[in-house]
Amino acid sequence: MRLRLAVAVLLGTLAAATLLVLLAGASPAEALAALLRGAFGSRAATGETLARATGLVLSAVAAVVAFRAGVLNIGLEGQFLAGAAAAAAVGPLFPDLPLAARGAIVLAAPLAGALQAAPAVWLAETRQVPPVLSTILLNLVATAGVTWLVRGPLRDPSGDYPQSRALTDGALLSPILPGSRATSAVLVALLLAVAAAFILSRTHAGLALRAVGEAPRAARAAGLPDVRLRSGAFLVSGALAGLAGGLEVLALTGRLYDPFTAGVGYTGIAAALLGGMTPLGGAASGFLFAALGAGSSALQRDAGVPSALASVVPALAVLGLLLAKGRPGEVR
Amino acid sequence: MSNRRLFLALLVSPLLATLPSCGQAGRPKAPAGFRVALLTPGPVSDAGWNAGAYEGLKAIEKELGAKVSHVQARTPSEFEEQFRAYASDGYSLCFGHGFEFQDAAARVAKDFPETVFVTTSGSRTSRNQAPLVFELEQATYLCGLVAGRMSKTAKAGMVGGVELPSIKSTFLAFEAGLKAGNPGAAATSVFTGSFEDVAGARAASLALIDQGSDFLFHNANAAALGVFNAATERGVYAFGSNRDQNALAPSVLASAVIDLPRAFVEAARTVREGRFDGQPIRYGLKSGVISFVWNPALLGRVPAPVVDEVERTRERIVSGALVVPRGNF
Repeated sequence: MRLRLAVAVLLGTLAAATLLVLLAGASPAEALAALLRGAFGSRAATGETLARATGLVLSAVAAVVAFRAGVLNIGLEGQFLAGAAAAAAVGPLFPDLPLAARGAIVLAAPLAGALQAAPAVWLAETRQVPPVLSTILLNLVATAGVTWLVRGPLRDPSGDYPQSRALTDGALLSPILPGSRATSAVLVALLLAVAAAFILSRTHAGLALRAVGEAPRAARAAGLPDVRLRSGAFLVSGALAGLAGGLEVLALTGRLYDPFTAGVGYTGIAAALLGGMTPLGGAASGFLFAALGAGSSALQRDAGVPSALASVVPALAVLGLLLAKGRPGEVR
Repeated sequence: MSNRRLFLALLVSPLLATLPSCGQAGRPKAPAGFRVALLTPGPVSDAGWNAGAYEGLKAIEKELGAKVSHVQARTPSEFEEQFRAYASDGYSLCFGHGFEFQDAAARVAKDFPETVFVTTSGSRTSRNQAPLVFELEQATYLCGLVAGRMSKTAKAGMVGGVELPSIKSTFLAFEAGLKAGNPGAAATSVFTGSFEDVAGARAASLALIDQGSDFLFHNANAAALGVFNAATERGVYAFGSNRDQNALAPSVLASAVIDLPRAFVEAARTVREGRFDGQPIRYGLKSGVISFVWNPALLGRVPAPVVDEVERTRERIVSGALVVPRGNF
């Protein structure tokens, strides 16, 4: 059933994408060729897919952890930015100690992500403010925060440009595939996805968390610490998104810039939805979207199809899935 | 059940037919001729910064017969990805349209010595990387000179967006021109903190006019409309900058213009003819990339000696006899 659904969504998306490519005046065969070449056509291309996948997989897992606990955390984008900002703040403090810089980033980024989520947690549990609202608003705060940081406190004093100080080359993660940009960060993301899958489906804590998400009142009646579980899942979700932001700095950019993301936190939610709200499904969708992203760049480079148009494709896939899954009259 | 499988197979089969074509096109072809790529941080339909670069790319295609390609790269991590893809595909020249492309270009330039990387503004250089540097100061100096000669109050206002060194540098040159035109004149600058805040720029301009400024210079991108609006309302003159803004308002006396497309073509020509030497590629009044353009509708109100003096000063800058001050950045 699930496989057939996935195939139907994939075909529907392909058909819609073909139509879009035709509208843009390119040949669908050429476009598909460019898409595949951009995603897997060479070692460098595969590396790009893996490099892009890191943030998407972690965001997708972050979304799953929160959503399964009944928290609609739409703030992954902001938590990602908070993590990236923290990485850019602590990384350059250790210019001669690359390992210390890496360690500081890996600790500070998730912490910052969780802190970015914390106001929404507090508002939800004490003031009944829906996280959907508070996290979207906090995303705006984070975006403005990055704009301020790169022009203010984090600005690189040696240059005149609005960007943070650079990590040393020694601190940046080196590629696992020579000649590509894929680093061990993607392995970290995968490992965490597996861990989340195990915890959610095989442990007491995971069961309790899902119970709180699916039937909060029943869970509370059964004596589960619902507030603590929900808040914990929310903070962990923020921490995962924050780690994604930190790894983006550590593996790819070495600095904080403004703008820093093009919606990886939102795409992560889409990946989680497409992956059936499971960590491994979300991770797989994250890879799919990463391949689409890397492929769509080649689509613009080689076939002249605007990459903005190509970014419509993942959105179509999610819409298709929701259409295929939803039954008339059912409101969740 | 089997019907469905058959149906699915039928749906998939045309897609499979397209696969062989990717096998052929999959390998990068041997570099054929001069190929130029452009990375922009935003859409080229913005009628501004990115559109100018894209026009430049199109002009390179037309005038130099190059094969060109463009991609929009939105985040710093995408910048490197796109540079790498073009370089490994054997492109001769990659433009990154903004200072923020420097780091990514430097990382890729190291691995692909055969490809030249040019960033629009910036400071990093290497054997195969350099920035384009626009000496807009040479034209803003002329704006200042005009204001110095024509201002009745001997006061001029300067409205900036974000307080960046490149913006301050144009103000420095304007002020130098102003004092050259009238040693007793004074300039006041205001930074609104935003390149988009039209209302803020308007308020700042009105305040400057209230303090006696009867000439306004700006370097505030889109927020400039607020400057022009205030100048028109109070009947004072303004100068355009970066683009020819003479048609935007009846108060714009002249503009200090960067011809972005021309800069791209000239830079590409430099690379193709093997004259690229890893030094910043500077364009001023001499190259024609930077120019000072009178508003033809208002030229009648400018005293003839001032027009003559601007032309003579322009020639002195072009010949190198006059060096316009610029910020150190």
